[in-house]
This record gives sequence, C-alpha cells and structure tokens, in this order.
Amino acid sequence: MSLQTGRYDDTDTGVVEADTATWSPARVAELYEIGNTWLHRAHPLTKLAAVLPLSVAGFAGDTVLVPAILLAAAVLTLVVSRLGIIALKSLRLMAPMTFALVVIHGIVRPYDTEPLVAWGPISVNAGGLALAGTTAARIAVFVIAVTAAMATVHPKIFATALIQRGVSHKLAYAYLAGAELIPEMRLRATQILEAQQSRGFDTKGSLPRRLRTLFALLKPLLVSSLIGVEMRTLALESRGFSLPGRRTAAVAVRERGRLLQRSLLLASIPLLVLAVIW
Amino acid sequence: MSAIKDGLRFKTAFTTTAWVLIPVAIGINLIGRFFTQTLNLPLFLDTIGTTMAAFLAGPWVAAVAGVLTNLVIGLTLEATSIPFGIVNAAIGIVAGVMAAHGFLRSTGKIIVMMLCLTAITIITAMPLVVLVFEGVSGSGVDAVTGFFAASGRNMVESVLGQQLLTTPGDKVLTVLLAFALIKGVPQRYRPPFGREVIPF
Repeated sequence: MSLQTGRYDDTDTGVVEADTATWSPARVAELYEIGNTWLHRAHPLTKLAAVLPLSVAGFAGDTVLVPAILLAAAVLTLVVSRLGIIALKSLRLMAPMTFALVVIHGIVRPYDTEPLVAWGPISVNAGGLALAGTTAARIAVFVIAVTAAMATVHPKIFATALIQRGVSHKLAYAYLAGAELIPEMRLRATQILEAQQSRGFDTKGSLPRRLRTLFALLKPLLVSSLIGVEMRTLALESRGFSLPGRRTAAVAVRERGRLLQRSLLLASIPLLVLAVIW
Repeated sequence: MSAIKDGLRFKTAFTTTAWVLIPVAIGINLIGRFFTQTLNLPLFLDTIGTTMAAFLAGPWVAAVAGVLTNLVIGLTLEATSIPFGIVNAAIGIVAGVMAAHGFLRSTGKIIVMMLCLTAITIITAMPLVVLVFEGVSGSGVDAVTGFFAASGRNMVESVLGQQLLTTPGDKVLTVLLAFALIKGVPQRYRPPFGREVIPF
C-alpha cells in the first residue's frame, strides 16, 4: 500500500477505490500511521466498537489487576503487530497524568494508615499508590484502545464508513474538515508566531505582556478564518451540500463486520453493570 | 429577530454556513490551546471557537462544534479529551442561549455571562475529573489540586478549589477574546445570527 503514490491498495484492506492523490503526505503523516497490519485491514467501525468493551472492562473490579492485564495485552498485541509506535505514543500521552496521579494520591495526600516510606515531610502511601496505579492503568487502556483504533484508519475512510452506516454526510464533513484542519491550523499558527516574533513580539515577558501578545497572535488567524467561512460556504453550496439524498463517495469502504460490531457493543453492557457494581 | 429564532431552533440552526463554521471553531479551539502552551499562560483557552460559534450561529451549532472538537482531538491527538466534550457542549449551549437573549449588549450582562460560563464549566467538568480521572487532568493545574489535597481536603473539595481558582480567568478571557475578535470581523462576513446578537 502506498498513500504517497496516490493509490490505496484494495486487495486486503476494507477499502476499495480510494484515489489519494489529493491527500497531502504531511496531513496523512500527522493523522495516522501508514501500514498494512491486521489493524489497518479491520473495518474502522469494528475497531471503534472494540474500544467500548475494552475501556469498560478496565473499570470492572477494584484492583489494578484487570486494567493491568488488559494494558499489558494491548501493548504486547501492538508490539507483535509491529505497531509498537502506537503503544509508545499512548504511553507518552499518559506520562503527565500518571505522574500527577502518583504525586497527588501516593505522596501528597495525607492518609491515616502507616506510610510505606517516610522521608522528612514526604511520605509514600501504599493505598494511595495502588489507587494511582489502578486509575492510570484504566485510563491507559482507554487511551491505547482509541489510539490503536484511530491511528490505523485515515479520517477520510473513517468518515466514509460513518456515512455508509447512515450518519449524516454533513456531520461527517464537519468531523473530517475539523480533523484535516488540525495540521493546517498548527502550521498557520507557527507561521504567525514566527512572523510576530521577528517583529519583536515578546513571548516570554510578564503575564499582561504575554496576554497582549496572545491577542496579537490570535487576531489575524481568527479573523481570516471567519472571513474564509463565506467562501467555503459558497464552494459547498455550488457542490450541492444542502441538497437532500444519499451521496456517492470517492472512497468506498467494503461493508463487513456488522455482527462483530453489534456483539462488541452488546458485550459492553454486562461489563458496564460489573463496573458500576464494583 | 428571525435569525435569532432560527439559531435557537435545532431544525433551522444548521445552515451550510453553520456546518462550515463548525470545523473553523474546532481549529480555533485547538489554536487557543496551542498559543497558551507556547506563551506559558496559566490558561486553557480551548473553548474560544465554541464560544465564537455560539455568538455567530447559536447554541446548537456551538454544542456540535464543542462535542466534535473533543472528538476530533480525542480521536487524532489526545484520547483523554473525549469525555470533556460534554463540558465543551454545555459551554456552547449556555453561551448561545445567553447571546440570543441579549447578554452581549451591555458590560454588566457580559459579566453575568462570564459567571454563568464559569459555573457551567465547573458543574460539568468536576464530576468527570473526580470520577473518571481521580482528580487529575495531566496539566499544570494539577499542582493546585495537589496543594488542596495536601492540606487534607478530599478529592471533591480539592478539585472544586482548583476549578474555582483557575476557571474564572479562563472564561473571562475566552468571552472577551471571542467578543473582540468577532467585532473585528466586518458585519457582512458574519452569519445572520451573529449580526443580530452583536449589532455593532
């Protein structure tokens, strides 16, 4: 499969007939991991449906055991599938939250029980650490499930899969345009930041000065974005955006896995009950 | 006044302009966050786009923009932001309804709007932070939560204390920026709802 050459191979993936000539490589690289693993080949909605039971299962049981086993299994599966980069991305995202959980619950919060280790005013509590570990593992399972599901499907294919299942094409457009706008807006923001810095704007001064800088940075970007709305509206209208009826898509996703998707969603119900009981 | 009525009605609120405005609002929400991180400001400013959508197209469009912001960011960049879509949507609804009822027409009313947005943010965000994330958010404000927790307060009180200290400044600036920036856009470029709620 080669997205850069403008062709999304149809043989094993769930995707057929995807002309990717208009997909900028920069956008593709930022939004998902290019590859042809079993996760890439799975239907986008099957992957999304799997997120729910996995995440809810992490909350079933009040020990770290269940989420830790799920997390270890998820990381191992990704590494074996040569998608270790996704596991790494997810765990890196979890790092500040895990640090905060350990500091607040394991060290800072006072407990009535005997501390595990005491060193001057600092004491480490076993119960607090267990709570921090359980919470971090639960959140990590959710993060890794979402990242694995979404980093292996291009937003355009995801949006098409949604439309094929009856989601409004307008809502899918808003999602897709929003996702594609992320790298574009970041680039424009960096350009404005550098341009303003070259004109002498202070980004490291006092708080009021930095607030003034913030306004100066935001104004050109936001005003130009809003002025662009009218042009985009006209472009969409000229393409029949508001006309009723079904749309044909340039990218077609092969319909499959409905039963599996429903089963995964149904499996979440008993798990949810267990999570609430515990 | 019909544009305001249309903006308040779910069926008529979603014009083509409104659908185009939603991804723009998502981008603006993201940029607010990017600039505050770059400038090391103790703020989030990740709802400027939602607030602008509320002022320009009404509560329902802003609510969809809010939910989609967190979905897009959650599904492409940072999964932990998905649950906070509820907070973003609530901010959009409150800002849109208040804008439609003339709360952008005087300084006193704008201050009331800032207070209401602060309140709705705390009411919707606090249960999520406490129940799902055990009081942390993975950002700098966790230091404030830690400070309250260290003084022996329980998690609900610690998170409430942190939110009461950090949210008002963020919301005051969000409303001011959204208002000032919309005023910087010529009337003819604003959607009809926006033209009527900010007629100057």
